[in-house]
Amino acid sequence: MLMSTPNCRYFHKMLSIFASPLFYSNHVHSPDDTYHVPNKIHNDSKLWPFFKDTIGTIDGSHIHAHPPSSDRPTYRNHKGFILQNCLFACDFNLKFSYALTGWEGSVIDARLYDEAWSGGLYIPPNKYFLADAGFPLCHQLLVPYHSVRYHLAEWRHANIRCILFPFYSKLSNITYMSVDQQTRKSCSICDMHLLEM
Amino acid sequence: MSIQECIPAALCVIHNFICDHSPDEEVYTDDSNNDEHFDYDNPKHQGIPDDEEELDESGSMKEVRKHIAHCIGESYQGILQQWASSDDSFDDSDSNM
Repeated sequence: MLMSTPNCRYFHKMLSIFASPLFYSNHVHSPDDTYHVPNKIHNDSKLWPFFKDTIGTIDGSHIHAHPPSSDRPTYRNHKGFILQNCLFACDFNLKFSYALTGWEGSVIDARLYDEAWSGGLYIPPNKYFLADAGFPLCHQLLVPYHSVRYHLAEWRHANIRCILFPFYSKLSNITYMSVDQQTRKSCSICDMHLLEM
Repeated sequence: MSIQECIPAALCVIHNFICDHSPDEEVYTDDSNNDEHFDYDNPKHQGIPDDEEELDESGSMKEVRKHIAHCIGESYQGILQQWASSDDSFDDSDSNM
């Protein structure tokens, strides 16, 4: 049924190409030891030099999924939706540097990070990602103080994580439609505006 | 699920590909309502424990965080003083008129 139409077949073919290790590793890679501070940080007096060792942000994102009925309880998140939990890291050039996908929606971000850290996410020494309070404080992650409301109005829109948060939000807005609907949309998958759906 | 797992990863690849090959394209411009993503009133919404979960055994990251907070605080105080002095000079010029 999945392969019932040519569009479906092309969709799956293109999907497997884009997600193949060869193509994926060419375009999505963790920062290396030669990482340089991006201009976005360097040119902003509210961020520089405070965040000179920051290499991006990392966050989990819940994306709607349709798992087999037997697996649905584990894919149900704390709000009751059936979702897959994905972990994305993003640099300040608004490019993804890491993606871990397909985890059950009930899994918390800290668990996803553990998995990523032990399975391929590289963070150069003395550098760190910014993360929210759902992540552990460790050498590679800078998380906000717990139970502290960040209240400096002048810093509100300079909040470094604000730069990237809408990005994750757009990604999490992807809705998995029926296969037919997915197929009709397959032509537009090569367009970033798919994230606007 | 194996197909659905691939879709976010494929979108990441496509996004980076477009960034690499069409750098002038504006990927994301709408920066309004950024704060809506912060759940200030329910910081524990992601199931984290009451106490801060830490893997920072040496406490070095705590120090880094403290240092950044201190520097930003000092910078903020400096800006406030600048504003206060500029307000004073503005008031002085008003009273002289």
